[in-house]
Amino acid sequence: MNINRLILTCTFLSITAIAVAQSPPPPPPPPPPPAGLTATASEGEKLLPANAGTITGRVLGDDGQPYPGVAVSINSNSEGNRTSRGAVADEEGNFKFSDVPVGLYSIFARAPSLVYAGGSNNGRVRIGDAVTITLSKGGVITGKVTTATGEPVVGGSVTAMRVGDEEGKPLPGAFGGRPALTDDRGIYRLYGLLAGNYIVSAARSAPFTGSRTDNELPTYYPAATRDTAQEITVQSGAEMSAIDIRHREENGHSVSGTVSNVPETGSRNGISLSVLSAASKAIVANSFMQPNTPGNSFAIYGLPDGEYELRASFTNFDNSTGLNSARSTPQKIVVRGADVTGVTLKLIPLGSIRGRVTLEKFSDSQNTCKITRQGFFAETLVSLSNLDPERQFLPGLVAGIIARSPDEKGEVLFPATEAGNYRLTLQLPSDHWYAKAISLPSKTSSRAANLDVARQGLQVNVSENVSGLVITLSEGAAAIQGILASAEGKRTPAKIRVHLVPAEPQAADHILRFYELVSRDGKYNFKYVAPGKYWIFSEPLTVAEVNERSLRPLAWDVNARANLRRQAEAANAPVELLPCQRIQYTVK
Amino acid sequence: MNSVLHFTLVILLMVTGATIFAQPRDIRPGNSSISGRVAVGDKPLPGISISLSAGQFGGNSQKSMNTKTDAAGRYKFSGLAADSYRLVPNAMAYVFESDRMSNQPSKAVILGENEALENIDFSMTRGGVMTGKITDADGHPVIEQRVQLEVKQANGQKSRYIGAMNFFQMGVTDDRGIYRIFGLPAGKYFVSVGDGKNNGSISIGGNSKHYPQTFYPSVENEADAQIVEVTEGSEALDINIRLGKSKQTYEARGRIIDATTGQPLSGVEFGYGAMVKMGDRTRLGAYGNTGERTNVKGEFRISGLSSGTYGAFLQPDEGSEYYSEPAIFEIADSDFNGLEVNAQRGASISGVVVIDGAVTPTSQAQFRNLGVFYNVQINNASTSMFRQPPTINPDGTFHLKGLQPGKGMLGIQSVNGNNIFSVLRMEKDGVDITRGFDVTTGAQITGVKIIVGSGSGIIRGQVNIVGGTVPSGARLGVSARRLNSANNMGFGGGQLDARGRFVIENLIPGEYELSLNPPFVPGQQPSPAMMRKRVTQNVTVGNGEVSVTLTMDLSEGK
Repeated sequence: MNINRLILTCTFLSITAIAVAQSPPPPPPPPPPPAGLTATASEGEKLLPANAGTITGRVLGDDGQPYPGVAVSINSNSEGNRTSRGAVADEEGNFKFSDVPVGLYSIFARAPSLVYAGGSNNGRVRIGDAVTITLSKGGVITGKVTTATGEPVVGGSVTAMRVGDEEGKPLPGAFGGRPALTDDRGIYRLYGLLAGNYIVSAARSAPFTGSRTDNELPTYYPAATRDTAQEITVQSGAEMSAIDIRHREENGHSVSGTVSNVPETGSRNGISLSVLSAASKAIVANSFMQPNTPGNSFAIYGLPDGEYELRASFTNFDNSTGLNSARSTPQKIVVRGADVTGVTLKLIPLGSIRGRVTLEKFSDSQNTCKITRQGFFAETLVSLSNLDPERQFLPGLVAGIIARSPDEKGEVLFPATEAGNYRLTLQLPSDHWYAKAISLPSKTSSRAANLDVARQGLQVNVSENVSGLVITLSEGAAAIQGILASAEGKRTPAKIRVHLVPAEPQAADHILRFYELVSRDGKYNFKYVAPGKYWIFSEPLTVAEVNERSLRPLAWDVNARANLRRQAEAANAPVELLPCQRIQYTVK
Repeated sequence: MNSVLHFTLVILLMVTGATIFAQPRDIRPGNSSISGRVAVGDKPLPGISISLSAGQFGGNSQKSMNTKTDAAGRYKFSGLAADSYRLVPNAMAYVFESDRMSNQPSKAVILGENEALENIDFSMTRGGVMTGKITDADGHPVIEQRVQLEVKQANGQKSRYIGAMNFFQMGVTDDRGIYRIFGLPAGKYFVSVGDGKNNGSISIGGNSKHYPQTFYPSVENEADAQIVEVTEGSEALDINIRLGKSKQTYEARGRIIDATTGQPLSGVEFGYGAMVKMGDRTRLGAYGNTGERTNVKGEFRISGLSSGTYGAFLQPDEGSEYYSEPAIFEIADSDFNGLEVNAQRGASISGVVVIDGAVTPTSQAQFRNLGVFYNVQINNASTSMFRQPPTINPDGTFHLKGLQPGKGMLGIQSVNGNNIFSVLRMEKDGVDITRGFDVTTGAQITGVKIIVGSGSGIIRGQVNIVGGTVPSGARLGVSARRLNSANNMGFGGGQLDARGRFVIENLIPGEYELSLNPPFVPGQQPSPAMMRKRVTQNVTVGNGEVSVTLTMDLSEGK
């Protein structure tokens, strides 16, 4: 058999990127760059670079010393750009990618046993960036797995699932990372772990030996079920030893059935199945149905009693776009002391959304605009957030968000979209740009009536192929930054949300003109702001909001929006931003 | 999709010709049973998990049964239909004789009807352990490096020890640079880390450190390597290796052009591989691609190359009209610039695959997994087209594009490896083209008909060995070849089970030559005298079963 691509599971560590070029205005100096990865535009590429350029960077340890030999890679996530490059940091920790086509790239450092010192995972870079990747030693969990009679479990697998982040915040939808093999003494060692809370489970079967066929349940540290598992807190770089697991040797049950409505392409590509806990949405089991399985039947083994959601999905690899993929709706199943049979998962074709980014020019007759770097459409990131609570935990998605970059002409495609109510957010490549409108004009789109997507969101039906989405950007963006007065003197809440709310009555529902950010250091900086009149105010985050992983803009909700305007009006701190203006302002 | 683009891979060129795989299948209920005992010497091994799967090669673990040995080390599978089975004990710390090369040693058993088969025993020995630490030139631990073992055979030859070495993290260093290999058969081992010379393997994606191959005890010269002796149940400790400076890696840059027009080809995928010496010829060994494509100027770059000879080529995707031969380049101690890959517009072949004879639901399902591949003979060497064959359409039609001209030959294979079909003949306009046909530059060949068949004939046999015993670790294989068939392609076979039985299935009725090949030890060249002990017998196969007994005489002088 001629295998073209064999993917070895590697410890690819995601690196955060603050890929947008900084545009430091006059004093006070800009906030210190966040730990981890920073990017600044190099002198030669401040203005419009050519259609290809260089991305440089440096890999450092958390002690500030260079980290030579670390493999760094960049990958494009755009249809029109499949660039994928690798480089190895030299003795000084420096790496360089030259002749990189314009685009937005995810950057990864492959450094087994090391972790990215910051811990976020949406790192993106573009040409002209000079990035610093800071790595630190990852945590270790090690121990011994024994049977009920105290014999070592040899050739078993141990998995650590990160259920809480370094601040203890729960991580929903968590799935275990790469398992470790137990050796002839029953000893395992998991390394390169991010700081956080883990639950550790052991199976007596070896990792990756094909699909499970027995119903034996994994045992969680110390000798627990999933529900009674004891969490292990791993501090940054710490080694947690003697995490010994005594295997319970208990059996669960299987869930079996068939997948219906399998398209021809689906039968060639195979179908993946996932079982999620109905309550926590954590992935409990994954399975794969081989192409052309007779009767399209599946069986998933070793599930403990509980309530689950079962999903089938297939990604169409027959064409390069991923169009014509399909997914089943989640099927609720209850395992209670017996195997569950006869489950039918009906595949429903996914839809797609096609759109285009356009840019309105700003005529800078006064010559007031100080452009630090022009942007390219291909450097824009368009994110679709599905607000449907049932679609928040789809396998492979974080909080229901899919993000793509347009091609150089601004065409953007989301090839496999679920039904749901979508909101769009934009990450812009130039602080000369702001988002002006997002719409589906009836004349040029697949919809019969005009839709103000920015205001109303985009309700997508099952299997609907939406085309003609127009994302209008404009030049002449303003910016406002400063400090929060509460930062002086009295104790500052750990996190404060700052709001910029449009003051014009006719802009009350112009969602793109509502800006918000969370300040952790008493400073704030709004860029990409549409010129206009605003109120600015701040409020401490509630405990619930602090614990919420992905904060959605409040302005998406009509009541919250009205409330914001009331609060803003009461705070009575008006500011007016003219095109290209850069303002310093202290929020009281 | 374009998001997953990093990997290391080792690919060997595909073997041409039809290979038959026993089809994995459900375990059917019946009145037979298999039982046995797992023990180390006299001491029973309780609690050992054993899995049983149906089909000669097992394979589909999704359809397996599991049991565990009791306090007396006994296991039993009951209620089984007559069939061939494979037994896999999960006992990685132990060593026993397996009848096939696999990272999961196992035994094949052919079970009759109403048969209570006993004494399918696993006689285990406690495997040895080898452990140590790998450090770099500066004394830092080298993390996630794979340790390689070679066994020194009795005849002095060295052979790569596979065992469970490809089994996940076995033999891979951890975050402290420490590795621990267990379940090792007693023997004499050479231990090394790093890239060998011209072994044809390649690391695609190319962004990790390369170290020169270094043997225990920290020597780069193979002749200075020291043997590590592992005995039953013993631990070889501190088998530490300090590596030399990591190899500098370089980049190759080039472009792909249409050889006829000289125009660059943008947006095409490219692949590359290591060139290996095969006798007096150099050919592409392992190859792969990153999924990256040429830019608008047809340019590409390949990074992470250590010194060596490589070939870069256009990687045709489905529907691509181009092909290329590998453009060979040498990396010594600098980047390589200006590599030019000349792509040609290839020929196309379209046609249909049809089943001769009855179509069962099973054959219908397997039919849909068939792909048609194309091989071309150039200078008496067969070249495949660096791509997965596209599967045929549901109606059996296929269309291949971007084919290299030459003496072409078509074949079928199954995308999931379960090909129950063999090619009966291939024709175009009534002319037999089974043995190949001339494909001229840019030819558009249509109307090719590939007639495939799948039979219900079975050869069931027993092998008797006289005049000697099969050497330890050696295997015996049986194969059947259909005589007078248009293509004369090999048609399946199998290894012998624990009792010297074999079964070959899915045979189309006809005359077959059955061969019992002499015992061979994997990794060793059998002696010419041994080769001559091959036994053949002609068998007529109908739609049912044929029973055969083959006897091999191992006595000297025979």
